[in-house]
Amino acid sequence: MSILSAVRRDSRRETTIPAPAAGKGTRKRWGADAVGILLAVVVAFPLFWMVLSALKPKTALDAGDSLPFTLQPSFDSFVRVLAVNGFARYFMNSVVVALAVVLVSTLLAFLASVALTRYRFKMRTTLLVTVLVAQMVPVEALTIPLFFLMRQAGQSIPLVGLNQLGSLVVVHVGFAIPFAVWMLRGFVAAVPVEIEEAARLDGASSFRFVRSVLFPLVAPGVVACSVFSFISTWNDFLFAKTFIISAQENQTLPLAILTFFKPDENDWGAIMAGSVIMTIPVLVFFIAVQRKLVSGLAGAVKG
Amino acid sequence: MSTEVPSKTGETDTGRRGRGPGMAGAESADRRQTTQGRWAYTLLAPTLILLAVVIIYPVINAIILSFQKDAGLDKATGFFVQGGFAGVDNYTHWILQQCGSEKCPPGTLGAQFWGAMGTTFLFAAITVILETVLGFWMAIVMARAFKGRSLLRASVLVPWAIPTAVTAKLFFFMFAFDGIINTVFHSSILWTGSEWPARWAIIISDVWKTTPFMALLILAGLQLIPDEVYEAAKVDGAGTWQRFTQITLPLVKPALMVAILFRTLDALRMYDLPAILTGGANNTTTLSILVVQQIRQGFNVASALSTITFVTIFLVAFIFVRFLGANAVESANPRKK
Repeated sequence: MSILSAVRRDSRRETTIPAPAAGKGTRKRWGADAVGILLAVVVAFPLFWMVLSALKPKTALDAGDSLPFTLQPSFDSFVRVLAVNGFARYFMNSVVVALAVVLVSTLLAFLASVALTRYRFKMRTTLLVTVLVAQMVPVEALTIPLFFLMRQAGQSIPLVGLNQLGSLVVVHVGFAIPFAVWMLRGFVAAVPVEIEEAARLDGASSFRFVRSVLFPLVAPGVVACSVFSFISTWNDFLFAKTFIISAQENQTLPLAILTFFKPDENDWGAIMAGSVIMTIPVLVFFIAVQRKLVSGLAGAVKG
Repeated sequence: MSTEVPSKTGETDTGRRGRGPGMAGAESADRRQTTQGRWAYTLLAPTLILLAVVIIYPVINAIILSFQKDAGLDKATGFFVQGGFAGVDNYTHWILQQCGSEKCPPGTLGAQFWGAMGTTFLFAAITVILETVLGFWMAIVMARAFKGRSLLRASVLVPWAIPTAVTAKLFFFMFAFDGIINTVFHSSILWTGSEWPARWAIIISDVWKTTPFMALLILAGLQLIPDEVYEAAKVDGAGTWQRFTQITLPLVKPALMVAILFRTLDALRMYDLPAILTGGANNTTTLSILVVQQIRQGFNVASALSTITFVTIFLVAFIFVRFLGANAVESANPRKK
């Protein structure tokens, strides 16, 4: 069988950690499950509280109601959030920026990680560490230099200037790439060179090899870093607040929620409702990509 | 930074991957390296250019500014101070706690430097350890095949998906004196009111928020381990614990190291959670909070602090890559035969 079809077939395989043998005693297993359920409850509790607070009537929240349920669920808080002027527009802006960042950063990082694992050249380690610099500086300290940079850049390339979504894309790609490169590097390196040779013997072109063999094999890594760049872009207040200073129509979703943060009087219901609304697209994105979180490598190597 | 010694045979090194027809060794090693280097830089170019503009340029900019004086009124003398070259004054201000010619009085930002440094490392150490252990465990649970697995995976991710500022607000709300946490435990702790409760509130929120990140990365790493290895080990009579330490741990190590490295670097720059939960009160000021507070008073002095932070984190990363991750770089290709 040719390696190409073997990989394709195997990419549907599930890698699973076998459950402890039943013979070892079901009691142990039961204990592990109980701990798991307990942990799930602890993890879920703040989320439950978030949704609950979003559904409680405003009067109950203001009165400091701490009941773990509500008898009069109301969608008022959601309505207040959705009624923010231009909410749909902000939403679309966030989606556009996040998807652009995911596509560009994953593509660039994939190329870079192939270069860093498949080729041998001077300065390889130096480059790997240099890439990390983005993770070492307090981001808050970079906003002011970046503000001036974008202001200047906007004079020659309007698309990435201040008040443009392009400026957000450029900066977020810059901050997402280092992680993506490091993450993908391990996955690209784990693809045995034998597979590449076999694909070549089967007559696959370089492009075909990358698309049909390498990419499916590193898919779990691609999923992990695309989720990472999606989330970090989607949730960003800092750069959105710094770069989008006057163009209301180019604001992103977090800034819409920011309007409910007030020094003395936070509108908790609206903040929680806004958070619920903001979380949903991330889940949709994750569910869409997560089935790729299964590698074909496990099966492909044995051949 | 290790220098790479070109190997002669080309078979022992996982890093070298000839693509051209010269793979069999017809080309000289030297020439191959040049060709490979050219290819490599072509693939790297877009990434490097982008990083140079978006990251390196502002960093260098900040380093230059850190040697400049902030213009403004001198608090001690009341005179207006012109900007200009400051030498290393901005650095001694933080490291030796010198304000002008004397020691910084307690309560000023300068005097908080070493405390903030300690707090930052404390937070980073505790959160990263907790997140790694819990994340590993979550990843192993999620890797099992069962009904509703994709739903579980998605829902585990939710805490990470929530904006940090919102997480901080949520926990602030829950840790309030009349908040749900005190109600549930029938306790009356002023969570954000004294040192250790405030620190634990921050650590708990951070662990809650970022463990899914660890779990996802480790889960992705677990995908690299073939089932057959486990089956073979089982046949050989390896127990659960042995399978974990002898198979799972070594094979997942490259992904795990990357996850821990990035988590550590992130934790050392923690800002949003303590800033919103406590505002840095009660010894919960991290280096990043100090940078932001200083930016409001003078950007050049703040640049010095952010450069100090950068150098500190760089050292941590260097130690990490050199002593722990160095193996991950070289052995990132688990031979599975």
